[in-house]
Amino acid sequence: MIKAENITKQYRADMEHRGIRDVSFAVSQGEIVCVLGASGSGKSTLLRCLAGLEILDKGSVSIKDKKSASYVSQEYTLWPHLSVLENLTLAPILQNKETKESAESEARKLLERFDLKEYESSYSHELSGGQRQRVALLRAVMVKPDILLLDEITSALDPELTKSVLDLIRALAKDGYTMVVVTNHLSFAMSLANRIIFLKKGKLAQDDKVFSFFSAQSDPEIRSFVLDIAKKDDSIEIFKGLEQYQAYHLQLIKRLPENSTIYVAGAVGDAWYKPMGEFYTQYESLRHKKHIAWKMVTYDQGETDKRLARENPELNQFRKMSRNIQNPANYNVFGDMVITQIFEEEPTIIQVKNQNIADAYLRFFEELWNSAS
Amino acid sequence: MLIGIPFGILLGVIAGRYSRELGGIIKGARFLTKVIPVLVLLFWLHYPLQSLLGVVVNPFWTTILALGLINIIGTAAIVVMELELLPKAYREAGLTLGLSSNQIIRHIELPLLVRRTTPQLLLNQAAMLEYTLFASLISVPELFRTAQSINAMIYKPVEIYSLLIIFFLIILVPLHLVVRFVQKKYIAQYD
Repeated sequence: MIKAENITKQYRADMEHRGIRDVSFAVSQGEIVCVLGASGSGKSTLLRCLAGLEILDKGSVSIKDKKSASYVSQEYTLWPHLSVLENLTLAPILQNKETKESAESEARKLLERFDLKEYESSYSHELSGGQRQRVALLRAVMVKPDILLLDEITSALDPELTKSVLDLIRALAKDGYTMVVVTNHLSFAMSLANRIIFLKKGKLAQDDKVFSFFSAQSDPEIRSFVLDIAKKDDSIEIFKGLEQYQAYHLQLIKRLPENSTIYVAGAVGDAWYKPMGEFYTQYESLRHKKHIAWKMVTYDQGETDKRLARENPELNQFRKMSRNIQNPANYNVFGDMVITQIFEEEPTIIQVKNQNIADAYLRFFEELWNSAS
Repeated sequence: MLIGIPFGILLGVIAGRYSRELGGIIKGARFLTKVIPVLVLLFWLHYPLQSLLGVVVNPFWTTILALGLINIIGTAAIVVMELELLPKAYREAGLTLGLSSNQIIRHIELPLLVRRTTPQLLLNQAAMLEYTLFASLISVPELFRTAQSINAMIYKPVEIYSLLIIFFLIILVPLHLVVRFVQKKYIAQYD
């Protein structure tokens, strides 16, 4: 659907070269790709190149049908002299040669679906930031594109307004649009994207499936970036260091309801037990008392895993997955939460509280479980 | 006004969209018309320049030339500035929705430009009207000089100059009201 080959676009800003260099990737139909990266890493330039708004220094972008890609930027770009309805219908009338009546009826349907009907006669300055961005998104949808290119469209909004825009993008994703989304909303990217592209100083540093990107991040710089933006996300909490790590797991086992299950996808064998130290015994006895099961899929079982499975197969269900399966490594799902764990010198837990993400991870876990033996 | 507005807008659009150099020249000229008083320019065009060139031009045409030039430069400078201030994102939004450059100019940029420049252009015309008074000093029979002549004949300064004030009020008050109305109506849209 989209194929970018060695695209390069450089310009000077703040006395240094900015832009992107030799970026190549492809996006298939229906795929949702989130672009992450620090400020100035070239995310917006990349999207502007895909949208055809920049003349490339080098490389090429091919899109199945150039007219099928609509771009929405972080700036509020509603035309201020036109009402919401006129903003939505101008391009379909002029470009798609639709009649005014049919374009207006379609626009009204969209406005109604996304709770903006009462604003059809309003002008841009009469709307809130969130409403403006939602209208800008719907305006992009009105020309019936196959691809939506969204450039940090929530960056100027407060959390409440951001939610309304992200909900709209989720709804459009369900409608089957192919999307390339620049965002720094981690939980949003985790719940929506199929793939993550990470840019570092204008270069493509990683292009990975979303599960692998967040859970099996080997690049320390990217990992620290992810932790940084996670701190700004309301639904994400980070627990760092041995004490917090142990306290987190003990609290978790205390607050989980009896007879619940913790789903674990991991590759690390016995790595979990070590940082738990002396608290492991306390954790284990509580878990048995509350009858909380572990359902775990890994490449290899550690010695402790094997022993536990022998002693209590009901509470310790382990399966081994084939090495051929790309492993998202080390995430746990329980209720509406997903945690990923990093076992370094300072063990770290990233906890995401989001039902959509938990559901998505659980579905992925089930696939792994069913393919494992 | 008939010369200044159409030629000024044309020049401003050319400079703002197609020639950065011309834009620079217009800004430079605008600066000169601001620092050189209109009266001095008018006198210079009427006496020294004509004596240098060895020609004699009717003061009426000298006034038309001077005020026409100032008006063209002023109008063009307003258009250039507003074109520069017009956010690029409006054009880009149109381009990514598949609109052609002509459609964008006609349906987006021109209506926006008209709304944004109208108040300033009207104020510029009000200033031009006031500048015409200076033409009396090079013997052009404009409004003020005519009033002076009538006064010389019948000597009724209170009535004549009061009438002159009323005349200016009749023309300029509605003009300023229109400016205020347009500003109030459209300014909020660009916040």
